[in-house]
Amino acid sequence: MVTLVASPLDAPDTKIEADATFTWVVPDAFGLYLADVPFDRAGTWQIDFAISTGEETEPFLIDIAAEPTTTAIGEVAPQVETPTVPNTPIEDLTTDTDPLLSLYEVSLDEALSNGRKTVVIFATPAYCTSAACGPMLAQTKAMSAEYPDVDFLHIEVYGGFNEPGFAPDFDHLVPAVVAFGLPTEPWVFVTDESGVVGGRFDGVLGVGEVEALLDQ
Amino acid sequence: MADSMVFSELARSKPCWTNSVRALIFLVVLAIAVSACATSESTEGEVVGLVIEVTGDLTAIESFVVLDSSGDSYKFFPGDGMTVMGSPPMHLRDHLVSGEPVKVMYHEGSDSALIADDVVHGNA
Repeated sequence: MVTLVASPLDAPDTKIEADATFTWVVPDAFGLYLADVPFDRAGTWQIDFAISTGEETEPFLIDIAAEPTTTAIGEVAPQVETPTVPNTPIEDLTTDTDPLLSLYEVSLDEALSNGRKTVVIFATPAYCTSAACGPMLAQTKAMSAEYPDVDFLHIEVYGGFNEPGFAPDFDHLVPAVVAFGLPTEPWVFVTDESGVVGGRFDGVLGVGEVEALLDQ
Repeated sequence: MADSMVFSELARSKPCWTNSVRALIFLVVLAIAVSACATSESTEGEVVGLVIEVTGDLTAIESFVVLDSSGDSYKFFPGDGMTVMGSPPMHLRDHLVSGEPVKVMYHEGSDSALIADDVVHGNA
């Protein structure tokens, strides 16, 4: 068993413990431990792990912000118009080498206001090749077949990636990424029928996490 | 000090313009010597380990920390032109999440900060 122990740096005697449960990201290949930690104050926290087998891990620090800088759970997602097929060629909409066209047929603002649930993934497949990042778009594409009543969208993080001299800099961030305040990629947001964010996932998706929200 | 004394003796036996040229040459040689000396004192190296912290955003990173297998951590600042496996620097965060090791080629800056020149996969 793995238990996460969180302590504010300025109050090390205060400890919040949360059991971490293992979940696969890529079944039988790569997984992670998930823990819900009710951080009750902003500031720097130290994270330790207690492992029942006695193995030791290195503690690390994380900064808890007073307010979220990225569109948060419970907020209405920014309704940003995004380019779609067929008005824009698919090769200008995604760096995915095996794109699923249905992820590019509905603009984000339309998806968030049409009374259907929406799953939107912000990712740059061309750069997203690690064991954590790579599967996220594949997972999203696979889910889209199981939930025909949900809009699934993929939005590239950078625009103009086919133009000469392209660089992944601020000038090339697409408007939706700026509107959501994304500091990193990839992210997945799940919204309800009213466009309110019900879940958001940063960097990695455990098996079943998005499905649990869509099944509610 | 010894070089300066030799130069002074030579200067006394030559015309004035020659002295100026020699002085210029001497200064250039001295500057090169100082530069070479500084270069030889700077530290270069590489570290293989796990990324345990990344600060920055989608367009640039401010710093990152790598933990090696000995348990030593190294805080790096991105150097001009630092490359990260052909991806934007924030790709380092993917390695933080996935636990895939990285190899950092670095040099020591003038203020002893570690400047990352290149980051590749740890098994590269």
